[in-house]
Amino acid sequence: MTMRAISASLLALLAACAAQPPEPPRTQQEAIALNQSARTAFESGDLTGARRLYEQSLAIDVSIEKADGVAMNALSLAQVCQMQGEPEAAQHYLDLVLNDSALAISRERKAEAAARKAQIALAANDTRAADQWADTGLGFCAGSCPVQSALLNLRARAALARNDSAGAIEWAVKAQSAAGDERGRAERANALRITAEARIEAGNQRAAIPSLNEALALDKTLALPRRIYADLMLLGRAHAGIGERDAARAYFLRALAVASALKDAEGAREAQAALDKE
Amino acid sequence: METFPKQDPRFTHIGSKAVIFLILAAALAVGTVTAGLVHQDYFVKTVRLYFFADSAQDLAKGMSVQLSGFKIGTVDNLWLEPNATVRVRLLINRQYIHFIRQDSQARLAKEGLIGTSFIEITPGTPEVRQVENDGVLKFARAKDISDAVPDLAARIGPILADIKSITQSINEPNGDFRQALKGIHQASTSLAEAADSVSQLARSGDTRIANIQEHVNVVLDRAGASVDKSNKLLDTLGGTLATVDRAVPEVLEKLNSTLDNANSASIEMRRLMSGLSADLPPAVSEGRSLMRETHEVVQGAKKTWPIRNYLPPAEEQALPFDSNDDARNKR
Repeated sequence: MTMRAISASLLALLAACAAQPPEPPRTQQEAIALNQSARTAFESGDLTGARRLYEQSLAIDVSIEKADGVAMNALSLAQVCQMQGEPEAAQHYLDLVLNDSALAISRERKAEAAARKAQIALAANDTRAADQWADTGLGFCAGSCPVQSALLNLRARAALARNDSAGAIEWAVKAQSAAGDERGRAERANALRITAEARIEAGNQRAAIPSLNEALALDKTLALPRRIYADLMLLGRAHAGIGERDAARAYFLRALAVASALKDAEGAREAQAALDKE
Repeated sequence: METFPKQDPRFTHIGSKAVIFLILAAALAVGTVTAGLVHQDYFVKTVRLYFFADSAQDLAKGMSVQLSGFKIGTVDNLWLEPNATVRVRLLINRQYIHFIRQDSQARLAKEGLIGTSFIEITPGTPEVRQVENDGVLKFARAKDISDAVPDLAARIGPILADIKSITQSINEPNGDFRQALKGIHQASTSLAEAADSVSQLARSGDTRIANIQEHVNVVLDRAGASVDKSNKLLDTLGGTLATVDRAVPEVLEKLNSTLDNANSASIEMRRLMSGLSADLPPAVSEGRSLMRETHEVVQGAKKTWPIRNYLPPAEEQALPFDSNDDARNKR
């Protein structure tokens, strides 16, 4: 009797596990497939293909009024356009998210759009606009959201661009504390790097080294080669600043190796120039 | 015997005759009066209408009232009102009253420029209600010649002023018109001089044409020699063409054989293609169907437990945001 009951329960459990989850409608499936293909194209470096696929996915999401889909595709498109050197096109997609009132796009997505706006302003050396957009984003966050630490880091980077080292450190520390969880490791590394950079700018190279080592460790965990390169270059500069030329050379050599592996000619030139100086 | 009879025979029945005469006279008088009244439309059923004018000028009792050129009534009476306006009563023949609407207008008009005045009534809008007895119409005084003359004078005045200024401009010795005339005169003089030059040019042209003719003769002589040479060249060309004529059949034969080979190759190709065309579509369609089925199987497998647990969730995702992204950091 007991064996029968156990067998029946196991069968019921197996049937429950094997049962198919509910499928989204066909149009939505198409949008999902296009979004995933766009992501694959983006990760393989095909920005043109990624843009085309994201646009198709966005068109479907707009047609079925799927607010979060519209926001995600528009934000991804803004990033692709920014990387293609088309900030105006990026702004268009970001406005689509920020100016929405009909679809009720979430405040988190709007915060991310504001963060992207701040980043574009920063790339254009417009630190005032960057600050304004970062503050707008923090307003959308209203306490906590996934891009909060990124927004704080953007304020720190804007301060750093104005040679305001103290302000940059202040914002970076806030960003570090906001990026406490596991998902915020990349932003925590960014905050540490900004802190170190601000300290180097302020002439306090020795204090920058621990932050940079921590950032490097995080970036290696996340396997982000460009961040690793940036950490190594800053470490080289910090050691050179305190007269440890051998250590500096070693970091510059590692940075050169990373840049060469990435086929980043500009990065390699920069590392080689730093090596030649030492 | 009586000299005079007691009763004149002419006076017999005089009483009856007098009565008959009196009756006839009375009937004639009544008839005359009745005819007069009929002529005065006394027995015609009429409707009284009023209008108010600012002055009684040209308005008079008994004036004709017309509608579309037909007489439909008369002006019955006029009164001066306490506010100095003139109230005019019209008697309109009842049979025409249905033409007159409440928006109809009475107008003082004249037959021609200096003819007699009359009241003209416009028919009004058919949709508006018909005017009733003792109704009041709007009145407008039509412009007569005395009104039109000042208007005409005002219009002609500027034209006359323009004509005067044009005349003055023409008469002015240094004015455009005089200068233009002077210019025309000078131009005609220059034209005469130009005509002389042209005739001289024509004479000189004749001399030059004679010279050219001599040159042409020389050139024609040389051309004759060239034609002789060309004839010789054509003879040579004729010989060459004869050689080509002999060679062409051989070339054509070779070309024919080549075309035959190409034709047979084409036939072979067509045969091969027809064989393929029979086999290829089923192969393609089967391949397509196989691929579709494979796709469906894979899709189905992806949805089943436990495979689905190892696959990423089927949902849209945004690219991750990183504050360190910029144009250089593409990954």
